[in-house]
Amino acid sequence: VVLDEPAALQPNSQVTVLAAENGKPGALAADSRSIEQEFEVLSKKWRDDIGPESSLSRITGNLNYLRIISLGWSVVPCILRDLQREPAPWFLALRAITGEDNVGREHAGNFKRMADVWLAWGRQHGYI
Amino acid sequence: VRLSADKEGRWPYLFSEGYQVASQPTWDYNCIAFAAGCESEWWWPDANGDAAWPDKVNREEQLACFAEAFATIGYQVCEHSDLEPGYEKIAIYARNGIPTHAARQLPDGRWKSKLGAWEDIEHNTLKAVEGDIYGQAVLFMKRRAT
Repeated sequence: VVLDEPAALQPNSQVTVLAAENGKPGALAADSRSIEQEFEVLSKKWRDDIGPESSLSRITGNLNYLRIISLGWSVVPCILRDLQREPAPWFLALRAITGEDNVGREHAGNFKRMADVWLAWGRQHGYI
Repeated sequence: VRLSADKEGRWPYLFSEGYQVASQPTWDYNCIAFAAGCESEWWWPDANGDAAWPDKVNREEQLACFAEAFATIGYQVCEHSDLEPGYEKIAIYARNGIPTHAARQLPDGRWKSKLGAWEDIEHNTLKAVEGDIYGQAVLFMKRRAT
């Protein structure tokens, strides 16, 4: 285990190790397979939950969608690969994670075009 | 052609009222866009602005805003869903007063709906997609057929 700085702990201190979340682009999770598996589970639950929902507010407000956002930068390649498969509305999640507020906004409503712009962004930044 | 059993089972009246699948699933458009005659956009008044919505209409999930949105393409509120020759009709569904879905009437009086990102279906009655998911058809609008 490597810490950023020496840790001064009192005797009998309890230490909890948490996975890094919401890190920067260069700090992708070491275990990308587990992130991929978590994305697969959560995105399937999301699709099951939203079913025939038409409200984009409810689609992107679903708890599983929000959990995917909470996975942070390390889930961005998974989202982009999903976008390559079909233009599901991952745009809010991508904006929330990356801080790229303007990508694809000019095509609001046209999910295919919005997905294309995000995929171009992903290729440009080396995520896919 | 029928929906998968898992999908069909989400609507209590769908099978008994009669329907058939009319497209493949797609995220290209939703029921609101489809009722408006658009098959390349997802229409919804989401606050984040990812869906399409008429510029001059408030982005609020209220029946009045949906009626205003359809008014921008020539629809006016009408009293009933019965077939009227020379008119195109749409029905807006709501659950607890909040819009959920829209269907458009076919020339033979049946209805056609896009089910979220799932398939389009042609259904014999408005009741077919009523239930816990979409609630009931509560608002009807019409415009002259072109």
